[in-house]
Amino acid sequence: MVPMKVLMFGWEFPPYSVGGLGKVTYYLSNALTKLGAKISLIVPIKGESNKLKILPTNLITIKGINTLLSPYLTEKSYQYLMNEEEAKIYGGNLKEEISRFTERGVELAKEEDFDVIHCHDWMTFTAGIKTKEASGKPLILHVHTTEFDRSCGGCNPYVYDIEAEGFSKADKIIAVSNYTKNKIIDNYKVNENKIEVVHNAIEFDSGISNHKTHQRKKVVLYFGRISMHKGPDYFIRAAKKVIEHDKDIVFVMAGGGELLPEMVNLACDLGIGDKLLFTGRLKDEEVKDIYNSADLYVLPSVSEPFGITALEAASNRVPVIVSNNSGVKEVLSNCFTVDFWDTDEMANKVLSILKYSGIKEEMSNNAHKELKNISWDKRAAEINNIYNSLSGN
Amino acid sequence: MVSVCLYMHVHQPIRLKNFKIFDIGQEKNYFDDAKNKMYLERIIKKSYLPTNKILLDLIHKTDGKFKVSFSITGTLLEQLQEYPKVIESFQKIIDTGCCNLVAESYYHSLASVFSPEEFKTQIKQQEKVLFDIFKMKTKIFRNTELVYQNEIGKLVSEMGYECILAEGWDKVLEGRNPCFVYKGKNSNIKVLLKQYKLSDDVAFRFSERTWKSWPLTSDKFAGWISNYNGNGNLINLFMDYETFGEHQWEETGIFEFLKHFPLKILEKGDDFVTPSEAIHRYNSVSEIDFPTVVSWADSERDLSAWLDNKMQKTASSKLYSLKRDILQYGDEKLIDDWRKLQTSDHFYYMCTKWFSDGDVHKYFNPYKTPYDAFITYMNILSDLALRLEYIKKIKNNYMDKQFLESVEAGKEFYTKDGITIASMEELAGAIKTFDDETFFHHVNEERNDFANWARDVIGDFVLANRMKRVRKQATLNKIVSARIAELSFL
Repeated sequence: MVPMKVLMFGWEFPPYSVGGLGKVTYYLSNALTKLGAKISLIVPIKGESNKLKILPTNLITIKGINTLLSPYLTEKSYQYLMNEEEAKIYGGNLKEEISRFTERGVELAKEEDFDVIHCHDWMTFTAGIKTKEASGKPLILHVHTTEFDRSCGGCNPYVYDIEAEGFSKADKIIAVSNYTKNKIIDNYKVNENKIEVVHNAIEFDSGISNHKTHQRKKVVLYFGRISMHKGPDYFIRAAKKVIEHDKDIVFVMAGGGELLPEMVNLACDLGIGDKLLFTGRLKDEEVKDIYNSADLYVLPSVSEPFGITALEAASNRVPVIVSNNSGVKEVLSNCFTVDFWDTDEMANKVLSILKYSGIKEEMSNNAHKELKNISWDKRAAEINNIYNSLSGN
Repeated sequence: MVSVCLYMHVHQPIRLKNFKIFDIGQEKNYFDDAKNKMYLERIIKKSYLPTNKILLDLIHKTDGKFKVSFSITGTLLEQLQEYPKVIESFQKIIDTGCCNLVAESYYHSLASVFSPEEFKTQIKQQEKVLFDIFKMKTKIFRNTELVYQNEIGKLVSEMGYECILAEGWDKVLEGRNPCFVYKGKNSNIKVLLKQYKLSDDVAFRFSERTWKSWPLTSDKFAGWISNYNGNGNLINLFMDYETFGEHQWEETGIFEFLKHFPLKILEKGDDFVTPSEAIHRYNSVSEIDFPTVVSWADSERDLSAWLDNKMQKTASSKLYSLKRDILQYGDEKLIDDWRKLQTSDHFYYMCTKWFSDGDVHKYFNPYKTPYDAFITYMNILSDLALRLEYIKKIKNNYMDKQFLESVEAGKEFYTKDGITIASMEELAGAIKTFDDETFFHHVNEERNDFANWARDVIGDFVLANRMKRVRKQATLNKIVSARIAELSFL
């Protein structure tokens, strides 16, 4: 196989990241360079800097485009993000801002030498399509989430159209799970042969142990954005049922998000305000601590294309309950699954797992065995195969 | 001439309901009747009826030269009570005299490794059910999953058994051949050893297209058996009955194979024996030592599929820790429930050995994951322990004058209409005065708050037990007043 030159349009890249996508882009790019790939990454960055300091190797070049774009924006939250100053500099609405990103991205791409175009999620799709048209190079769309996952039904037609156009013009689509692949087939009428599944991974350190000190109370953790599609309200309703049964169990909802105030209110309305703690957005160094403090991790998503946090929790030896509507269960079989709406069953599982000894150790030992076989290096190899198959090598 | 001893193990567990933690203490049934019925009817149709028909035909067609033997667990026989046609189909084969019934533990349990007395009780229970249904007594024994070691042989020998079936495991045979009768160490029990290669050729490999000997024809199989002439006199083919029609579906040709391979064996001049014929026809060639437990399962031939991981150890030790009290205090139903929880399948469902590999074992598992199996089991076991605790309290604490005293401050009963009740006396007085709304709020189909208060706060389980199913105000009042009179009498 010939080493590939990859033009990548991303959304975020550490340290300028708010969600899992930045991490995924980072680890994947790094792993690809180990296979000899050269990557030019074009990402939106918020703020002044045009020179990102973090250049992991000289095989990844990063060009930032000054923008307010971030992966989880909706029209409403975009408006909310801008202060008056910024409103002068940036486009007045999300659509304008994306076309600004697209225009600038296509310009920057002209300076690059590449074999394939690799785009991460809908905001970059138009830039990818235009660059394909200009360069004639194959276009790969990497789908980490679709509008159907984010919107919980109230699908934004503007976003849908961008996604649908991208899917029809792409040479290959990479879905992060079979769950997502099926969503793309069902909702965008894409031929299944065009879609390859490449699951996400984690950097697994088998030496990780849970350093949990002997706390008196058991802790159940939610960790992720507090958004509708993540199902935080189901977590809280299950928490209510658990606490009615055992008042010594504590729930932690870690992460930021637009539903945070609403969820605080819900917890108070249900009378469990003192048993459900909110941390707000966590810094990277705090993430390790939050896993260490947990006895159980719950991912109650209404729709979760993958769910990398479940792997992180498992690697920290925390047993995991994941929603049936998630991609991660395709690679992690040593976990519990539950329907997100079935808060009775969720509460039953939480209580049972915490009550009976034996399960935590058994599950985390077996999960560790599975995690050993999951790595970004393997995923990068799968993606490299896709690059090669498209560029005619 | 070599003799073929074909023995089939017939068993279905009684599967558990999805029992949630919230169900504990709610007096709910443990067993999933609908699911058990569904599995059972499927296997009757796919396996039991067609297989028994073939076996009976073979016996008649060969004029009794074909022999077959069965062990049928108590848990299955219990479920078959509603299917007399199936029982009858077994009875017809047994009545030909070409069939040995083989005894075992009624509940298909692993009691042999936990408690010899419990093990014996379950064997006697199985003897009884075999006699009640089939009017047969047997001298042949097999333990759950062919679990065997010297002590087990000694124990069943002392119970009057002449022969036990065990795995012909290489490590035990130490270069010897399983195709002979052996004698157990430290007892006079005769040991018949499973010829696992030939048995598994049928049970596991029959439909395996990647197997170099696929497809397995009757002729080929009878030939392999015949090759043992001069090198052994007994080929023990031991397998699960469900091999025919369930593990190996009809479409694989398994029924055609079953119809023909016995005839081929007879054609080649070999014959069939039951275990009791085998031990009377052939002397034991030597003593065989099973110092540790050997089973017929997996490449390890041990108990690791049932009792190896943390969950299995937690569950089994909790289960058997209840033994003394259950047997001392438990009523018939409680003891029976406890024993049904001993069925080895419940522990098998918790096995994580092959889970990640997506192994075929999953096919026989009603749970999504071994972890689900574990929490369901533990919730039920917790409920059982709670029932035991209540029964113990009733028996030990039957009369205690302290029940008449006022409860400690803060533990009073607050009724919906604002009355505070602090003692049994006050409860009796208050019940009379409630309007319907208040009464039905506390006593209805879902719950009886007064009974729960009597149990959890006063601690009078007898009173609680008498009250819990009563829905009438006047009756409840009478019960409480009578209890007061009874206790005052002390």
